[in-house]
Amino acid sequence: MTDAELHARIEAGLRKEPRPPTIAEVRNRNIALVVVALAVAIATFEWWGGIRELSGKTPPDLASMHASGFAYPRPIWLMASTFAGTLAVTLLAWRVILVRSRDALGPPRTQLLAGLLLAPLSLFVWRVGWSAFWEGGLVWVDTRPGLRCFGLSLLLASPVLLALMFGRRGSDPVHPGWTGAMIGMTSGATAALFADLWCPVGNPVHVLAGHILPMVLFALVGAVAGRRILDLR
Amino acid sequence: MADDQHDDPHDPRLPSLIEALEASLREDVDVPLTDADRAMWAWCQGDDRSFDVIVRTFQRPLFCMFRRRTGDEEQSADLVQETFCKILRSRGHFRPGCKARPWIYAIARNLQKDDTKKWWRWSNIFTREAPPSEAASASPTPYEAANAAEIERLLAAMLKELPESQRTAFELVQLDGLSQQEAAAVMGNTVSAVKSLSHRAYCTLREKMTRLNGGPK
Repeated sequence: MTDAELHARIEAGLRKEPRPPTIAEVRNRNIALVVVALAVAIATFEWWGGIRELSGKTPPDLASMHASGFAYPRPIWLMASTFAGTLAVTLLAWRVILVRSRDALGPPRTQLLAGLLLAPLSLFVWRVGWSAFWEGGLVWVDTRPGLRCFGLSLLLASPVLLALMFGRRGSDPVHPGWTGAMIGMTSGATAALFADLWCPVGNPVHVLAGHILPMVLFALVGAVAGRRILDLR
Repeated sequence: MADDQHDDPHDPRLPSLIEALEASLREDVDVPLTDADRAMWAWCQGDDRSFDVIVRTFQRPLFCMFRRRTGDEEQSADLVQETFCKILRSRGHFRPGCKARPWIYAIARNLQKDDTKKWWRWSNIFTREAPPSEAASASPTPYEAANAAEIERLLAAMLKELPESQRTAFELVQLDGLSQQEAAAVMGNTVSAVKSLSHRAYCTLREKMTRLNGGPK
């Protein structure tokens, strides 16, 4: 087959394709999607209760918390510093999924794997470790096993996961499953940011069940969804 | 291989096969940015005319890659067409400043993997005629053309027997002309892994050819 014949065959196929969006159009669309997703997450967070410790609202299980030895509300310095640590981890997770390699094929698998392992581990160590500096920060509260935090995390992470998956659909020809898993983990970490502001409890079991488990769950969902949605085939 | 002549330890074509294998080995060099890379960046940012440069640069290498793996010109042309359609649809996901070749080859490789899974392809794989040799001279004699085609067929048959990862690494680096770093990006692997896979493939091929030639096992 000559070059001219091959070129004609290619052109015949390309003529049927609609004009694809440019990089700038895709980037603007993705930014809009993420902004909308974060706006939905913030609205959901406010509907859920927001930052009660700053607004002066008392939680319904305050008596139970005091009976367990938990000194509600947390001092501002503890809230702000806990949030700052979680924010740092979340931003690093976002960086992993946003920064591409020099070959436009996404971050290397080792980087994605490192992000998948280190993000939940560092969030757990930070949240529990930092709460240990506050007297009563690690006590177990019977009315706070982590179910509400788990539910809140699912609600907040879902719009972020949908926005990132939709924006990156058909973009990864090499390891869409791993990329999807990291996108899921990042969505979970973003939800953990809000959950840290709402939830004062630093008990390790509570943090694992209510804050870390949603991240792992979303990573699994992201891995499965990524193989179908992100795959460039 | 079905041909009885390949069991003959004194088959005069076999030394040429080893020479063809040795000739395919190349030093790894990091390919600098090319006009095709710049055309890709321009096209991704909105210059629709630059896509023609990308098509003309990669159509023949992709066609040769597909033909080497499928043995069928029509099927290879279809795959090339489909590859460029997918590249077109994915314009917004490419990053200016990146190299185009690894991205394009990753898309092509996925298409080829999907294509071989289609069951109706398998019925034709063992009955296809040998593709014309890429290394054939401008005016080969009938003997030269037949010999080059036969060597390419033997090499292709041996490559098919390799494990998928070794075969892919060897083909990307030695036959498709990608650098080890580019091949690593396409395979989603490390450079050292690609180097190791490619080398193991070469050693396996060489051992097979030496054994066929009646050499030490």
